[in-house]
Amino acid sequence: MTDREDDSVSRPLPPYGPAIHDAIASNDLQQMKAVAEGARKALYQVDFGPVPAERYGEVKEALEALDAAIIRLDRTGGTDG
Amino acid sequence: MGDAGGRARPARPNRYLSGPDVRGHQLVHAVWELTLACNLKCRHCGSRAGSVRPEEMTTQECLGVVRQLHELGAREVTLIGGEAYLRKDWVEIVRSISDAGMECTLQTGAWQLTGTRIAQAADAGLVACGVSIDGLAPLHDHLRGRPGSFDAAIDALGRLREHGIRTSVNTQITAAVIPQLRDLFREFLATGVRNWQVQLTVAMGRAADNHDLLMQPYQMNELMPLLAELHAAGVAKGLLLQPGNNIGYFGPYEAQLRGSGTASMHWAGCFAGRNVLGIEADGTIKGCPSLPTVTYAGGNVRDSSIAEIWASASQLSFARKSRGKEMWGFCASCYYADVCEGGCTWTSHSLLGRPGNNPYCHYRASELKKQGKRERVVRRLPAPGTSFDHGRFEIVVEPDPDTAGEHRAAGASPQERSRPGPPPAPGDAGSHLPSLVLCRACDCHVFAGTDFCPHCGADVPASQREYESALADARHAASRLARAIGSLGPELPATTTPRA
Repeated sequence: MTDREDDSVSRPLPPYGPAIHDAIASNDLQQMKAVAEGARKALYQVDFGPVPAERYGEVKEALEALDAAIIRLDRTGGTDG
Repeated sequence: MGDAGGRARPARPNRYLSGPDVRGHQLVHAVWELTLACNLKCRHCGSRAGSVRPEEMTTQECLGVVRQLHELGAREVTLIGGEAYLRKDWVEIVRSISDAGMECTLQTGAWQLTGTRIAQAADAGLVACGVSIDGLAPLHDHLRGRPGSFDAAIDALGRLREHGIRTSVNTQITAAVIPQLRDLFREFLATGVRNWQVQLTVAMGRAADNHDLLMQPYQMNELMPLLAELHAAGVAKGLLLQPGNNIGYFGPYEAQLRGSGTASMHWAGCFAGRNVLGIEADGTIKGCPSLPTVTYAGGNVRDSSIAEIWASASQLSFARKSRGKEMWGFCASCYYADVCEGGCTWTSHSLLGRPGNNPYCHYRASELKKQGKRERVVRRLPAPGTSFDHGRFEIVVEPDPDTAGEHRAAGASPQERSRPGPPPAPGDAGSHLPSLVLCRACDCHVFAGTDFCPHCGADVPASQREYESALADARHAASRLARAIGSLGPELPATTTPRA
């Protein structure tokens, strides 16, 4: 038996399927978007304290890099879910 | 099902299948119509619920069924109706299921699902409950035949969660609800729903009588992108939309909808009698609770043990072997025929009187659209009027008015092209485990080993390499950003940590 076969087949069965937690945990793209969203909130002072001025450029640059990577991933077939 | 609103990650649902479950046809999940008595009068009810069945099982017989299910290794028992809680002994049955070590769940319309009933069920071990909501309040109340039934369902969701019972919402996709799905999504978000399962209304029972409720097959081209949109929006906001077993199949949204983000997941044939069985209130056993009783009843617990029926009744085992000979119509020559096996048996048999040809398929509808065609279903014979009965519909292929003059030039369609690998030998259904891979250029599944995608023409291995490169870069960028945010202080949002 392979490792793949050992894994649970997280296939929706009637009448209910997997939990939201599993959907998020198994989705790279969704996790990346969550990280980007967290950074956006931090940069723009939504919900959280501001990013210190000396770190603003670093976080903003990292966020832009991730946004670009997400766009590329989307274009190359990143399944969202 | 969903969660009870807490932040702790719940254990994996018992209904999740392992490879050995799938290969060994292990009974995992039993769906049990405890009674046909119902306090709603739903216009689309396949079982025509309302009055109790003649000869419904006694309490002692029900407890015997619980024992047998446990001995067979079932891990979850979902009680349905009718309305399960209209049986006076339903709490005793819930308790016996829970005491036997199986998860007990409930599917309900929630009319008069009182606080007392919920508290008793929670105490007895009910762990999860799905509540049916079929549209915004006016549509839902109309379909369910009770003014106020929408409000009752929404109210029940909150009270179930208060008692620690995980909740989900189930929605029947009728023609009328499609334009309401975005509003319904917002309504569910506002009321704290975390899991939402949708399934097509099937031409069975009262839905065959009221066949104007049914969506038309060509509307799959409208429905599936909408479901994909809601799925993506839902995961971002904490509401998981899941396709029921008659929503599909393949096409560019299969991995997203069925895989919940796992690209390798896809439909692999009807589950009936493979890991699931259905029990009617009089002890009739079927491979799926929704199948037409006349054709698919494999026996009765009053005459045989469930183990014997599960092991030997052909009415239950039909989906365990190759179903190639059952395929007809479009499905017979479909690119995905060997894997899909015609989708949901219940849907196709109820519509056309036999399985193996299912017009309610997104891939099929989209392929026809490319050819400037579409399919409609027209009722030719009414249903006789018994529980789980069906009439007879006919598929009408007609020009698609939306693509008149636009359809593609003549050329081989994917189902006309050869696919790699030998087809399964007669009588061998293969593993029924997911086996296809995703073409990253068009998000459609292809057979492993395919060089050029039959759907979009892309170089499949090259597009996979490009995707993997992009994924690695994105993971790196996400880790870098997570570290940058995390180093700012514990109050700042690292949110989730991407996998390295």
